[in-house]
Amino acid sequence: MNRFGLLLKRQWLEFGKIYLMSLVVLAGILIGFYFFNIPDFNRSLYRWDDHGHVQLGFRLPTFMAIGFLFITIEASAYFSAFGQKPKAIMELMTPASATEKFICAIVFSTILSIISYLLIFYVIDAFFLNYINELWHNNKATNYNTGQLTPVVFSTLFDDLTSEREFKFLFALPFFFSSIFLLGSIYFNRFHYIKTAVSVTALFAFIIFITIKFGSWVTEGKSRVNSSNLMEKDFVFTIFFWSSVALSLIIWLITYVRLKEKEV
Amino acid sequence: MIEINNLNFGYSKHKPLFKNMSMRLSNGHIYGLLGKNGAGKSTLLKNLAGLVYPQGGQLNVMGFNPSKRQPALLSQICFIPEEFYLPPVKIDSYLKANAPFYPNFDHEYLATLLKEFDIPASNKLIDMSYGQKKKFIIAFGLATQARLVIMDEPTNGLDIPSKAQFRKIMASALTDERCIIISTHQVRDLDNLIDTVIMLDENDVALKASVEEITTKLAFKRVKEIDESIFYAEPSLSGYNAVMPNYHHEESKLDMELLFNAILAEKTKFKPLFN
Amino acid sequence: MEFRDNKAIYLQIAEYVCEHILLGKWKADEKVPSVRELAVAMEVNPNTVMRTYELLQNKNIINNKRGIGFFVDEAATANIKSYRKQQFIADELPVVFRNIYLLNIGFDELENQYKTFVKENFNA
Repeated sequence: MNRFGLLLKRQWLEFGKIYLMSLVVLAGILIGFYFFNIPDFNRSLYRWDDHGHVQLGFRLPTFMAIGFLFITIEASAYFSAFGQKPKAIMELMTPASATEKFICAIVFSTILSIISYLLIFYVIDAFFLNYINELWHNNKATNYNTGQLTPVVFSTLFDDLTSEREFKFLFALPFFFSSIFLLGSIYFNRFHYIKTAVSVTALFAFIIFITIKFGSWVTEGKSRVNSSNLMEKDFVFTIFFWSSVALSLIIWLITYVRLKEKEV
Repeated sequence: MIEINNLNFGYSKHKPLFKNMSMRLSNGHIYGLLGKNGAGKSTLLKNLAGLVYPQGGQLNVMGFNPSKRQPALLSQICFIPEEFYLPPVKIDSYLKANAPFYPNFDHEYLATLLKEFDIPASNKLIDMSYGQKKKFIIAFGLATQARLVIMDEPTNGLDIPSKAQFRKIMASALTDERCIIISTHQVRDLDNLIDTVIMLDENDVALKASVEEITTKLAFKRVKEIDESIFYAEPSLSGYNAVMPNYHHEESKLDMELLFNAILAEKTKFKPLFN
Repeated sequence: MEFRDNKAIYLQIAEYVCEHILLGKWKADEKVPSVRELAVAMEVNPNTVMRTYELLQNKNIINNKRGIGFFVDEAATANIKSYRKQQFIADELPVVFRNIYLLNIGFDELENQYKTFVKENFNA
């Protein structure tokens, strides 16, 4: 345990500076995005959510796209040292066990990057909200959900994330993508990100192709029954959620074995 | 200290590097690992450090199997690779990050070594030249007080004064508890430092003998003419540098380069002498 | 120290030690450098110096006080001389004899040469 603490400290002293720099870059990009998307007051097309707040149309796509990029880039950078022999030797010869090195990798590449992403996004978003709510605080518009004239108050990030009940089934996805790119970073010796992205895309394309083929073969000659049963829908989403959790765990296991068997 | 039993290793199936290699190394010695390019010097060192895994046979390093990469063993190995990497930080923060992993790390000794090597302790690792960096990792490695010191071509990139400093430091680093293995091409840099020669050739150990044993069995001489008693000779300014069996109990100085070439050329003649 | 090519290192170090004792740099009953110190100074393996010290001990040139270190023997100077004489007779004299024989140099001539040499170099 003491040694694990030392390892965290070592990795931080070695990669912390670069990590903090990446956070600054992230913050810069996010501020830029928000800056160019200050909503125009005269544009009357507001999207109202169920709580009577106005949604920022660009927020969720930005949150997901940049989040995906940030988390996968951080994950694919972590083991990149293993692609260069001299660095890999230094890492492997550090007196800590493979398990400790692996957990340290998860802490830095996944947990820390997801938390810091949420935090930075949230803080920038909060400042921004503060600013535009102040700007708009005397204005009212018609909420199409209620038909009433309502003061314009913008929804928060948290509101948006909980606006659709299916969203909660997606919460394992950041871990899933992070795990894939972490594996990619130890699997490939160079160009980790591109190679991982290409192979994952190819794999997904193949799986989707097979699924469609299989689906059309199974459902051939059968007619479609429309179902809006929430239970059934939830069941599919639950399977989706747990399989993304299970896949992340399996990919982490493979990464661990890969780390243990890494030779230089 | 180290036991190698029937080690088999190769980077590809068709080209084995070691076939059933066996050897024992003990503490209190500086072993000089010699061999042609591609004979597997670095690979043998990596096997010992657990950086690559044997494909057959057993390795025992201080009671551990290096393939398991247990922290207790790793903290007793100082591995100086030929090509190394140091992060772009100050010496101070490098020490803070790495020294605590070694329970016996000796900061005072490190300070002495850095002084000997003329490296100011306030330096940033990134501003240092290749030679200075190399001296730094050697100093750091020795200050860990690791019992097994493995160095791959340590004098590469060192200037002439640094080589002398290196020899002094290694002479003082050898203790009864320590085992030092140095692979080298530049035999002349190190020949007085090495007390036991290990030569790799043709997938195996071609020779493993102490300098004392070698010079008891062989004589290294300048001769005017070659006769049949001579195992191997190379022309020199005044005749030949020759290796021959030491019939007259002469106490000659081991010429490692000559021995190296001699064994490569006349392996069969030497085999019966060393067994 | 520059080592010569033709003689075992441990013997060259022995010569170095003897030289220091003969020149009075290291005096009788004084401590000589430890194995490690001398190894560092000569840039050689400590085991080599150990071998030197064992040899010098056998010749009663230095002695080992347990736990303290090696000291110059009281009779070191005399012992060095007899050790050197032995060595000279064994190693160098045969070469000289061979040349004397091959070049046909008479003993009278040799004696004269020797006397002049001593006079010129040692004023004796």
